[in-house]
Amino acid sequence: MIPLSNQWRRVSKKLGPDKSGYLFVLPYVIFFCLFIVYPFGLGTVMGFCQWDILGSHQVFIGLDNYIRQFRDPEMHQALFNTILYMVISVPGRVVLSLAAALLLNMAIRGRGIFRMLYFMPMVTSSAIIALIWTWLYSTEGGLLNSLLLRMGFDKIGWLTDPNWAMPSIAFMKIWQRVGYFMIMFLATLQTIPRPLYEAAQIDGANKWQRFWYITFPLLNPGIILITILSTIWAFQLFVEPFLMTGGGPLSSTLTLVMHLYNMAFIYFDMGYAASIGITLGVIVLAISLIERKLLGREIGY
Amino acid sequence: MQGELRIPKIAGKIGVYIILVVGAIIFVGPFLWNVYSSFKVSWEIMGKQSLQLPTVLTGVHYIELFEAIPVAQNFLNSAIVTLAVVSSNLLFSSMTGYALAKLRFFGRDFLFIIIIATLVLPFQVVFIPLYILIARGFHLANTLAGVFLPSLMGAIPIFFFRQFYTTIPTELIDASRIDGCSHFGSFFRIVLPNSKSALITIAILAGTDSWNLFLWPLVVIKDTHKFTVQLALTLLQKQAINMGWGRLLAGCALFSIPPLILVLVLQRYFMESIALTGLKR
Repeated sequence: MIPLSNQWRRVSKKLGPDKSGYLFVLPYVIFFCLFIVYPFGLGTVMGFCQWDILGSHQVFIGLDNYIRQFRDPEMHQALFNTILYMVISVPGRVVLSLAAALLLNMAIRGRGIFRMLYFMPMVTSSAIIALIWTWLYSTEGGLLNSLLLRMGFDKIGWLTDPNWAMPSIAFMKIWQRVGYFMIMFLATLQTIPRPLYEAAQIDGANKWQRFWYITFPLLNPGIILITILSTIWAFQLFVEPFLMTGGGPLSSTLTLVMHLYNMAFIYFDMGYAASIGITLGVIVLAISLIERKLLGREIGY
Repeated sequence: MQGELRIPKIAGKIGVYIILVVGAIIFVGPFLWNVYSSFKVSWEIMGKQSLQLPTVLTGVHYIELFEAIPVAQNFLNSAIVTLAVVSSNLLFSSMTGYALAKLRFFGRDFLFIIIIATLVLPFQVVFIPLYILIARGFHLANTLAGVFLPSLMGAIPIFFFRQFYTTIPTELIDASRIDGCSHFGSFFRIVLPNSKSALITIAILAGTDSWNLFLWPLVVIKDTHKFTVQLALTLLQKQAINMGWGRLLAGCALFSIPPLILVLVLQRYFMESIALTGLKR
């Protein structure tokens, strides 16, 4: 009896003073195991199998799915499209939201109203925005082409020209996200004490130097965070091309997730689709790590 | 005010406002256009007059909308999903976040790191097997439960709550503990009632996210009467090809309203919390 309670005391000490904490996190741990760990494991296994969802048999085919990805022209196209989208969309939104925040910071009045208006696209669903913009981008009666014609320019096939389709979607997504990031930057900007700028000005720093040496370093963590998050989101692009172009024209807006979706729910090639999912995960992880290394480690969670 | 760069010239200041107003037009314009176009007569929506204000106002497209899709049912479906996701997050994500912030137990920090790791994990990796699990494992294909189940808890709400709870003072909690309250007791009786701003923020974030879900419901639900609002839009889009644009625009306008109202009403909390999530070090 006595040795047992000694053992319990030792274990108990290791577990920590607030053992009810385990009960607090239990729901999430169950959820996590069920909906994240298990699918992740299943997906990894599926990636090595061929599985037609109508049949009940999975056939282990080793690395065949991944070799197939390597040779799949649609996969290459999807990868190219997604990266093109990322290259336009991520810097675009960072730069514009930064600029907007700096501008808004200079305004004294109506800041709250502007903030709210700029934020509106963020709350609206991607599906609704995609449909509204399909109209805006319409080659015949769309708003943008009407404006262009009125100003004397030629129409642009925003969604019908393979060279414009993906960039058009990228612009739209930048438009959607700028408000959100602008607010984040604005909040940082407003915590910078004014005397800091005044002191710098007295010491002879011009506007650009004040920005570069005071403002920018303080915004840096936010910039890094937004860049990495946006990159991760960029690889998840689906709704907009799905609704606006169906992956066309000429597969120029086919994204990796769309390709995955097609493989799984149109061709019912579950194993292959799962392997695409894994590849996607690896790519995203790799790019986020690279970005983190390149941009610095100041996220500091 | 804090944080402003001083602008010496008035011209500069006016310039700033001009740019800001142009920006506001750019950001709000498409929505305004959506709304006033939905009241236009059909032939004025397309073509050269697409930019102009309506010459004749008509509400016929809204009537058409209600005839084309089961609007009320779609709304209800979206509402059920959103309600499930929000209430589950408010309860369980806050609990988890609190434990990660204030309670001390072995493995706590390890769990926290794992939760952060899921932020980097894109949905696509688990997307297909998750579908297999929901459809084959739980036999919840084509159900609303199948839609909201994977969203019941999330890394972002947990992370947010954890940040929030690390910043609140422990005095109040300690006082209740000294009085003999269990951890659960003090959580539900003292901590939660004082977490209003965090709860509202997550309610908004999780609420708008789940209201706007598209890919997952698309894959799970097959019957149109079980469609959520977003999926119903795809039906309208199909009809738009045959002169149904008015209906589609009406649907877009109508369905933009709920999240918008939510944010307008709870704006203050929302804005503050976005600032916090981005910048907590």
